[in-house]
Amino acid sequence: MNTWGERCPGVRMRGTWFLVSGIGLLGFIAPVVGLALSLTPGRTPVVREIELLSQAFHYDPLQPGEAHTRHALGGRIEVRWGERVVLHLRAADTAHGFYLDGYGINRIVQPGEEVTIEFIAIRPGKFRFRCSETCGPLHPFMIGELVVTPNLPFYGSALGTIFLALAVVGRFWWLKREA
Amino acid sequence: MVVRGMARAFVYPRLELTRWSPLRRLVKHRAFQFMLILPNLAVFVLVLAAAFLGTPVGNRNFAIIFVWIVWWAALIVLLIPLAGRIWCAMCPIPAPGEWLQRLAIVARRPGRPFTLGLSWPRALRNIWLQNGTFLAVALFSAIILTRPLATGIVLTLFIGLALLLSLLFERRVFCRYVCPVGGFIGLYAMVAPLELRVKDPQVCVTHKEKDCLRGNAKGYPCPWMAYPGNLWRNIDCGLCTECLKACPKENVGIFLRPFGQDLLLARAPGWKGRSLDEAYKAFIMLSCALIYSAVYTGPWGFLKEWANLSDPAGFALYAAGFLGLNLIGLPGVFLIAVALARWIARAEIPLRRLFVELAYALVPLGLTGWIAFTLSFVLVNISYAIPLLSDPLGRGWDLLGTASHPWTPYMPELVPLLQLPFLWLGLAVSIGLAFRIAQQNLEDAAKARRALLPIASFMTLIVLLFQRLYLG
Ligand code: SF4
Ligand code: SF4
Ligand SMILES: [Cu+2]
Repeated sequence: MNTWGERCPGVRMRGTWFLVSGIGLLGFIAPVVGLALSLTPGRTPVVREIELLSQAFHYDPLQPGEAHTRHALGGRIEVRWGERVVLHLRAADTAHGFYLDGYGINRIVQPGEEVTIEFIAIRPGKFRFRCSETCGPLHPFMIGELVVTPNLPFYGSALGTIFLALAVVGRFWWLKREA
Repeated sequence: MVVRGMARAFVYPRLELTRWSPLRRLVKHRAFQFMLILPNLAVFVLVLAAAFLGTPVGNRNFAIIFVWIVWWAALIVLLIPLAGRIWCAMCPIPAPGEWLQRLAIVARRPGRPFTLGLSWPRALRNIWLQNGTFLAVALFSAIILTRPLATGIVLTLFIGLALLLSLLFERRVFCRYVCPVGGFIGLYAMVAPLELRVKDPQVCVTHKEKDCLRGNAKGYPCPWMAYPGNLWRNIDCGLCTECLKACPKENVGIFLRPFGQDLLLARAPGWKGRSLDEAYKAFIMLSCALIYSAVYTGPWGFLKEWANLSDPAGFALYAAGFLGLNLIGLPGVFLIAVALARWIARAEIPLRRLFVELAYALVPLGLTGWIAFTLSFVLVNISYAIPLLSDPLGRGWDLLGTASHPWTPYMPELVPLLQLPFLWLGLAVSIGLAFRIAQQNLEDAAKARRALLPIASFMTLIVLLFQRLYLG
């Protein structure tokens, strides 16, 4: 009989949680470090110009010259980490806003005008942009996405989830064998 | 050997809060529930006034912001996870009906209640109706959450239906069997570390008069049709404190306890055991949290237009997808996971039974999924409430000098970092719970371990889906 395991649940628990948090942390850090290392520093800064058409209640990003389709599959802009982004913002129906999470950028665009917004994608991950000018019932949900690739927070945390699940399942598979 | 999960007079540690005499005196006071309801009723009247008389612009209307952001966030992030059904004790919606039934607001009026007193049909003594009413409201959420008039109409329907049902049926059948909010509050209340229970079930067994059931001069009979002597789960008790007032044996108390105990319970006297209606509530809530995350926080304009009833064909598609995922899609995938679990564990238990039992393991994950979804809009949009404090009815008032406060999202870029710990907590707890439930239903721990693999994979997949929507 495993008296040690039986009598000291506290010790066993601590071991489990050490395992869980250790593996989880590793799962989170490893890909972040790996991908960060693979990025060569000092790349020539690339300028990404994107036309962004706002319309109740979504944003349509268009490459320059591309025709506008009404049901674009989601207002998602993908740029690479470190790129200089130049957005040409227009409004199709009524005045809309553009508030970019994490950058503090907040601009309003009227129909018929074009607002140019410039910034450098300084951090990888997904950042939402939101309408900041009341434009109709679903205004608070008028949201687009700027994804700065490689999306390390997503890949890292997804791996973290998988490792966490493995650790919790593992706890029942191995550490409780004797119980 | 004791049956695992059997209620053995409370196997978990409990701290009786009502031993503290000021609290005991407070909850035994006849006006206790009224004092909880009163401020909410006042806000509710303001909400209805704003909904019908205020600006039609949702994000500038007191009703929309205070119901769907302030109240909702308080409910799902604080009240339910920490205090279970406490909202049901302070909810203004059933109050007029209950007061009319009693012909009294605070006092214990003796005599016949003012109602036809029909008893609720046996076939409906479950939460299927609540699953239906929730889906009906949830399907039109894009309208209800954004149009003050729609919010006003829905709330008026609730209060009207509660009143009507209280005149036709005995007690609070609206809360117990109809209210779309009451259904999921009950489900997730089982997670809470707070419970109202008897101190010693044995005392109830020997107490022939059972004042809690019949009522006495100090308290009404249980409005939720519960019998405290057989009350084991928070889902069945509305925390109204009537039995606490009525019990002559001082056998009822309010307890602090470890989180989630009700979900571990497999069998108990006077309880039919885990059931499909509640299992479906768990599926519906989990799939709605995913669907809402995609529709409201995602970048897909066409989804918003469809949900917004902008074109009928789109809405028909959306409705089919919404109901399909809720009722068939997610439960179907879970059924496959359970079938796999049953197969690799070589378990004897019928598939349907194991499906129902294991569905309860999704409750913690569903709750944390809803918390994560709520976090995605509450910090961003809570500042809409600031100007409304000064001008709730949109009359150009400036009571507190905050009327022109601009929309200010608070730390929007940190929201995913707040969501992740909740999703991970939910995942870890749900996997642990799945193992315990598997142990209760399969013959030995080795089988439970094997059965855990597909179930844990399903749960991991759900969390990855949330992550894809929030971070991907
Ligand atoms: S009145 Fe008190 S002791 Fe009697 S059955 Fe009810 S809760 Fe138990
Ligand atoms: S069990 Fe007691 S506190 Fe709970 S609803 Fe019934 S009377 Fe109220
Ligand atoms: Cu807008």
